[in-house]
Amino acid sequence: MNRLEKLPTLRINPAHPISFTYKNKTCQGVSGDTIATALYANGIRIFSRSLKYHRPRGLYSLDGESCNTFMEVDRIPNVCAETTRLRDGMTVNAQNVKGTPEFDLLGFLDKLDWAMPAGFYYRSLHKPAWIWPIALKQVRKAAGLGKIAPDFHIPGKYDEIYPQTDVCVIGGGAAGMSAALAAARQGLRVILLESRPWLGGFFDYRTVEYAGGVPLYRRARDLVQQLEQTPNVRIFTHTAMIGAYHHNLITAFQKGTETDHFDERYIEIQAQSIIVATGCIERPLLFENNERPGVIQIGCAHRLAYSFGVLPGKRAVFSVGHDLGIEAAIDLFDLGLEIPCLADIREDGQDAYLVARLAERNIPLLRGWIAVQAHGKTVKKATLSPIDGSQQRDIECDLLVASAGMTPVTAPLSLLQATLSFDDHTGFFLPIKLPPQVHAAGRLLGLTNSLSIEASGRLAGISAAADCGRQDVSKLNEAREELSRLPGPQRGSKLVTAPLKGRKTFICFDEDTTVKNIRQAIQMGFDEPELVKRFTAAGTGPGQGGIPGHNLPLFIAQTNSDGDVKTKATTVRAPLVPAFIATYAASKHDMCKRTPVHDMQEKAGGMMRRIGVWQRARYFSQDLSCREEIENVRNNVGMLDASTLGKFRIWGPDALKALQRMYVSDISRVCEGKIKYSAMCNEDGCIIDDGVIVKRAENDYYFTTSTGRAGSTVEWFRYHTRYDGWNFYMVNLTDVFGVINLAGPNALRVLEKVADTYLSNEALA
Amino acid sequence: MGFLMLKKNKRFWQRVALQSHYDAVIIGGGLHGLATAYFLARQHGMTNVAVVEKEYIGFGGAGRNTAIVRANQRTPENIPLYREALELWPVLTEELDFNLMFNNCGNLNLMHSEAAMNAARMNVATAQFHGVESHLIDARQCKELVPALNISEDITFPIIGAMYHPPGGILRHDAVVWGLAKSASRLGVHIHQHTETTSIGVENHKIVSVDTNRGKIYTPRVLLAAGGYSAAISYAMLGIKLPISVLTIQAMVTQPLKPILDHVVSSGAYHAYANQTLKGEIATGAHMDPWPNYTTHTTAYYIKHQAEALAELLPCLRGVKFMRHWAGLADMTPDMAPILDGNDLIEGYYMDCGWGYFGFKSCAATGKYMAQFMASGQCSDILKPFALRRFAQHRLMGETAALVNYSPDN
Ligand SMILES: Cc1cc2nc3c(=O)[nH]c(=O)nc-3n(C[C@H](O)[C@H](O)[C@H](O)COP(=O)(O)OP(=O)(O)OC[C@H]3O[C@@H](n4cnc5c(N)ncnc54)[C@H](O)[C@@H]3O)c2cc1C
Repeated sequence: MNRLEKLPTLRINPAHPISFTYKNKTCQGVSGDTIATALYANGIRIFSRSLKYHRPRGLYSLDGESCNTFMEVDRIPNVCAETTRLRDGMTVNAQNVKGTPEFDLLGFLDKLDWAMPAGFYYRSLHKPAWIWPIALKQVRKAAGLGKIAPDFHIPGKYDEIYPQTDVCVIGGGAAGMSAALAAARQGLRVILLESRPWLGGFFDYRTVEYAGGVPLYRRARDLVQQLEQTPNVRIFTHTAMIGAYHHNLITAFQKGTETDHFDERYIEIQAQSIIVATGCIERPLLFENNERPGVIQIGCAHRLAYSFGVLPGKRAVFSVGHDLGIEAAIDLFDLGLEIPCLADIREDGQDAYLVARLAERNIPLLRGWIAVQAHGKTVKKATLSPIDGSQQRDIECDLLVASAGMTPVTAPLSLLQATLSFDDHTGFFLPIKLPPQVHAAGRLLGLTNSLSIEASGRLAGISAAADCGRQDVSKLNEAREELSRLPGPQRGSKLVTAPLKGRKTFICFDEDTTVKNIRQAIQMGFDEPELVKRFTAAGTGPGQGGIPGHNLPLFIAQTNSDGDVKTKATTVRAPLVPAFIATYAASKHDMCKRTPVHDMQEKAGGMMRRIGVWQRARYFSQDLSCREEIENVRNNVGMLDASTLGKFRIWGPDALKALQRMYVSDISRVCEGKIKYSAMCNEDGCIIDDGVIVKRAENDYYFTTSTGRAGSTVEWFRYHTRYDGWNFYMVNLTDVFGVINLAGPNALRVLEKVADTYLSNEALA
Repeated sequence: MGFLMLKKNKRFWQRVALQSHYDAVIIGGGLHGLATAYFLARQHGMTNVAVVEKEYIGFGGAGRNTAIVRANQRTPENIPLYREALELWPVLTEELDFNLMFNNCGNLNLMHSEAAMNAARMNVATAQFHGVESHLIDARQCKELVPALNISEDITFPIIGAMYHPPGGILRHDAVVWGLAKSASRLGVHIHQHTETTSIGVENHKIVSVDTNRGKIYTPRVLLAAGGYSAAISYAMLGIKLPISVLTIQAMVTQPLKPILDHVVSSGAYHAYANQTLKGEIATGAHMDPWPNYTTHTTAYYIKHQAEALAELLPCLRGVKFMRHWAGLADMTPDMAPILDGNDLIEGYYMDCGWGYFGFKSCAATGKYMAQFMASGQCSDILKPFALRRFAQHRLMGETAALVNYSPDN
């Protein structure tokens, strides 16, 4: 096992091997691995082929923002290897390949990009007309990623829970943990959601100093310990927030581990106050072949080594735009990674301490330089250039660690209806207006200093507590002051793309959309980010906005010659992380009501059918024409279970007035002890219901409605009399009485028997 | 590869300055507005026409629908219009020189009770009478067409059979918007995006002008084709109350898959339909939120509901993931038929709205006849049953078998 074993930050246990099958061969991973890290440790670099061009794709971020590592696992398509925990006995296969991922027969499509400009399918394949039906079949076959069999049954248990809480914190990094602790210390119930299997975020895998000689990862573990000792905090790890709705309703789903009683569970949280502390992901660097296997993001390289014990390559070129890149280079160098140079988009502004440590290691720092091209099917060489493109330099390597900078994970805020706006200093889309009872904290606000990040978390926690009635003004002011004394948001790099034409520079991996495609779309008049997105499909694939979300609007704003196009983000939609239909459907108990004669009817051979919320016998015959049954009613007698009809009593001084308003007939003409059939209309004058009304006494009536209306009739009455202040009472008796309908020439005789009395038509009239 | 060769990337539509005079102003750059503009220019030589769109073209229902088309409606007034619309797709593809990606895969409307099966007989008979292919099939035949379908007895609403309508299918909704806009623009129509109508000028019961956030336009004709916003505009700007309730309607797609679903499948009992888009996503939706509102927000309830329905109807999809969920507005009339009218209350004032969740399938034919109406001032017979006055005259259409509840009470 080729793992780094001594690192204190590791999240794997090399002592516990796990075997799985890939391409019909048994491979070994270790406990704590994801499918992707295990494959990577086994030397696998090409995980899949891309949608349109069938380009090789590999590990990129470890957080599944693209479908680069989507695989078929145990016959389930589109499983994200980067975020799926490895389990013993898994069968893993590549998808969207004809052949193997390494040698794909459709790989030639990559050369046909000239024939597939932006939106080419709108402008081709329809002339002559007979071509389309044939092309249609091919298009369908070529599109789509995974395959599913019509008789496929996904195994596993899918559960659901509906917890309520005072404060819901989304994101278990330093800011989220600090927020949760601060809110909990005000005596509130807190739920903390974290999509990774452990808390810690950006602190978790880093060894640089937090403060007072304590490394970041230690600090993270301290916070976790404090949280675990706080009984009013409920922690959900491996839980991705997927939706946010009116009145602070948050949805999420949790992946179970071996010890859980579920494989996945749907979680719907009703919170009073919400804190979004989802931090940042990296903004992809745009250069030629920027999605080649071997091009990975900073955090991916860093975490592969420090969390998963896998040294990501032998010789790595870095092209970054953020201090985290320099830090990763230093850390990885110390583990034995050769680093010929580090290009930094920024001309200046690097952390002096980090720069000095680079120099100590003789790693050349190229300020104002950028990767312009990656070479090889998996990276073999990188071309670097200054950002003005004035010269080029080729460097051999098997890894290109590339990242343009950070991008805040603001999607939860967007779903919560926060207003975001482009911020020039950070280059982020930042919240400028948050809805009430929603707070944001941490790195997603552009903060990079660890103490600031925690302080902003505490401030959010205390503010959220105030939403829940635990106002503590002095604490609030204290937290505000603390934050204002600490370093604020850092200047972000704004560079969008390397100096090049961008023939194979991918702004969206999932849809194979290049920057050239974006330029084409703009030329064709699609100057609105939302329209560019639709026309080029950028950001509409399985990863949604994960890869292009930030770069696309920046690039459009930069490219569009028209001055009046603002840098505008495109719309974010739930689910933020794709979730199984099985998980959403969860346990789905089919709840329905039974009538008092249910068992009797079933015994008599009744075919029970669902009608609204009820089960009811629909017929009793083998033959669907039900001839015998019908004839028996016509010539003899039949009985119908009408218990599902709505049944109500209405009484009180204004009961008649209310009935008069609702029914089309004059109910005042119904005499005591008599019955009348009538109908109700909606405000458009359409009949919505019918039934009978019985007068029991003065201003005391019993009436029936159709089955479908039983649930809404009381509200209907109340709604339509809401301005009148009338005095009447209503009870819904639908479930209280059974009803039997007798029909046929002998109906009266049966009724006589039951009632044990003589009955005649005249007597009933 | 000849058929793949593409011409240079010319602009599809021009950016032009707002003129002070147009022969007609169309409010709304959605399906119906753009289709009418196109036919005005193409068939009636009326090219001095402006389409004013408050956001960008396709912002409304046009960019949010699931593009299901069919012509097996219930009433004899509706079918001819939808039938012509269905027949127009291949024609339009050629005329617009734009691939609308018509996939006439056929629709299966599932029936879950013998009673529903019986009710469907009437629909089928009406459709056949009007020359539209539609017939009933049993559960086994359903399964043959859709192998993923669950026809077992032990689900909430077992499948008894279906109304099968082979000529229906799906298109690419964006393609229709862009194709119409492109051709309309090339014929001379001005498309003004980010231009919101703020008021409509009337003098002596005649349309004289339209005010927008970008300036005043003098015009003798206005078409109201603002989708979900039409009723509000009509009332706020002209004081004409339309019997329209606006409700949110949601839809969602799964991650893309290789072909698994070759037809449009819908079920009233489950309140769900599903079809596979050309990109491979399973698109699903159906139900409206049961309260009027103008937000386009989704709900947690609905995506879960949809998952529960699909999990029973097409159980293999349990192993597939939802990827994107969105909402739009449905402008519903009491009889689930649109309001197509003009020159009645105000001279030069035309209406094409109330399309609810079925205004995609009809846009081509409706645009054609509305254009003819606006160009000639004469309403053709096919549109006459849809006049606004039908509500006052108690001549509602029976497009819905049982009344849907979308009033403010529930
Ligand atoms: C989720 C969903 C699924 C659907 N599925 C289907 C389906 O499968 N099949 C089907 O046939 N139909 C479907 N529909 C319905 C269909 O999309 C609509 O009926 C159709 O879009 C109506 O077209 P329209 O041109 O009237 O309105 P829209 O397409 O909504 O266009 C109206 C335009 O007017 C603009 N506007 C509004 N106010 C102003 C103003 N003051 N000034 C200027 N412009 C303004 C809006 O921005 C909008 O772009 C669905 C709808 C939704 C929401």
